Amino acid sequence: MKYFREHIDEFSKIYKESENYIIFNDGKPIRENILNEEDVEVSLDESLDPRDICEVERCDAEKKLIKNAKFNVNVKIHKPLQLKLIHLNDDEATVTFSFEIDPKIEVKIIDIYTRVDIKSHILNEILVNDRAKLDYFSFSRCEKSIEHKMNVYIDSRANVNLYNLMANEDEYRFNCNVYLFDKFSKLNQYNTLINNTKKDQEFTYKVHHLAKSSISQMRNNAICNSDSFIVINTDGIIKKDAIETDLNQKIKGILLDEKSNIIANPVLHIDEYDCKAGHGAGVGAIDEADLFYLMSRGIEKNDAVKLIVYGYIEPVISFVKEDEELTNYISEIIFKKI
Amino acid sequence: MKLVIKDLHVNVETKENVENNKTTSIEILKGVNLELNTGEMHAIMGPNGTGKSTLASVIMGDPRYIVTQGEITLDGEDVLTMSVDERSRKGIFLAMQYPNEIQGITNSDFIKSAMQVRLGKDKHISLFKFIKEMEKSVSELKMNSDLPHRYINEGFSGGEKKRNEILQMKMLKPNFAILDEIDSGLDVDALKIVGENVDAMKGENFCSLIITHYQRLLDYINVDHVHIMVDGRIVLSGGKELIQKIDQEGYDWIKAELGIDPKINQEYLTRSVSLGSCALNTNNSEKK
Repeated sequence: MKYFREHIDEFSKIYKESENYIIFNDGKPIRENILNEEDVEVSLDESLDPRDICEVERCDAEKKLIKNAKFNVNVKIHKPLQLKLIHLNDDEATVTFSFEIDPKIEVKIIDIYTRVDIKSHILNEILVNDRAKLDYFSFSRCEKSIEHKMNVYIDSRANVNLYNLMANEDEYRFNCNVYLFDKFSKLNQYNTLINNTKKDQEFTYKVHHLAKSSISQMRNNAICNSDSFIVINTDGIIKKDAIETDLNQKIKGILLDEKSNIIANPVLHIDEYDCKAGHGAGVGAIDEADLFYLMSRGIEKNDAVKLIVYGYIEPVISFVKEDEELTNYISEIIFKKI
Repeated sequence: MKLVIKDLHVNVETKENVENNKTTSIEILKGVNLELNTGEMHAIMGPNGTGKSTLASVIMGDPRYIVTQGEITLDGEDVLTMSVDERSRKGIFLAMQYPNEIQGITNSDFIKSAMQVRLGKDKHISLFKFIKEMEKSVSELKMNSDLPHRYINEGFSGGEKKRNEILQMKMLKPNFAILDEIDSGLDVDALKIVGENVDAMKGENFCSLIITHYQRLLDYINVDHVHIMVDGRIVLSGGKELIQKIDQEGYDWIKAELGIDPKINQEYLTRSVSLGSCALNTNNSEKK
């Protein structure tokens, strides 16, 4: 709480008493504001077991993470709502969070990792039950080296929109697995990754199509400057019998200086004939033709560059544009980096 | 206002060989002379690969081209020393043949920014007036009402892109609008809408230079002057009668009457030049 009190002015910009929010310190909920208590259940020392959901075995790293976790926080959401989560870590921590969304409800989660000032290991798991809709926005600005894992399990006819905006200040490893484990499940994922830290950051996004007629679309935008390095791995996996699936993954990287580097590794693993799958990647400096187009309408070169870079961020940040204070808070951090 | 082009020579550098990175310079424009005054409508016609699109791009300041000789002046002021954005703010506009797709920037934000830079830092566009004007222009061009809120040209059809160029022209109200093959990719109805909207811009503060291959666009735009460009030069200027003659007889009569061979610049076409793509397409189809 001491840490939270020290930074209260900074955080007070990003949550309101009129909304549902939970603030976590080192993985432990330290302040909850749930407007209707019946809507959300928060408990400790419980975590999801993917074997019960879609017969997926946990990897050893995840098992270790759960075993070492100080807290396994489980949040069950029973009613349509918007929930804001704010994470602060000031003590080296291993923390796990799991969210379960009840069937047939629409939920919006805004997940902010800010002031994670110490080396941490985080596991985030989300189960979206049948016919539910989840809009999930995550913003990550961690000051210290983080290993972050995220697993999302999508049930039959459930629809998930994931928007991730990563602007971390140190080495960062993010590993995201999405399992479309029942028919007609749908994922739309948009990730924007920014690195100006002179450090290495690695992002791995895997989408597993385990059931028929599942659809996924993923867009990754990476912006790299100040002699920094980003690796983006995208894996599209279509299992046998996951017929009539449709998978599409794209990576676009923009280098703002000569020394920065982005490596894109798009991979498809397809074990079924009756499916559609496509992927692509492109990395380079700002396109001179794009610059010419904007300048030919009177916009100065520096402003044209800013507009093009902003175009990589806007599709994600626009997801929270109705929350003006939060948008301003995030924009301020982002524009300092680019 | 007056835009004058005098003895303009332009080269483009092409990579001769990707492995050894050697470049060769090819002359595309070989002495263009042209005078444009506000209040006038001009059309440039000519075979593929003769430099029409190059001329349009050079006037706007496309950095891929090197001006080796000649001048372009706007009311006596040297245009060639101006940056691209400066030329635009001085009243020059280029509707591009292949407009770029730019993700994450909505049409309306882009146009608003372009209008704002024309006003300077002390003045601000009235949001109400902007929305009204935008809605009116979108309706006049019979565009989908969601188009201003979509990202610039992203996912647009060929026809939508061309209309979007005209939308920008209507909103920015330039003095000199160069329309580079704005009719390509348009269906009959869209061609009529675009043509009528360009013609409606005619006035004492507006001049248009329309680059086209076909008479059909000029059925809707009442042009005063028609120029024929061959092998990097304007070889003939006249009135509307030239349009009909080209439509009926093609360009072979130029050789007979003027002794100029309207051949395509083969050297320009056989190298990997990143411009004048309609000419390159023609060359490819000829090879087939």
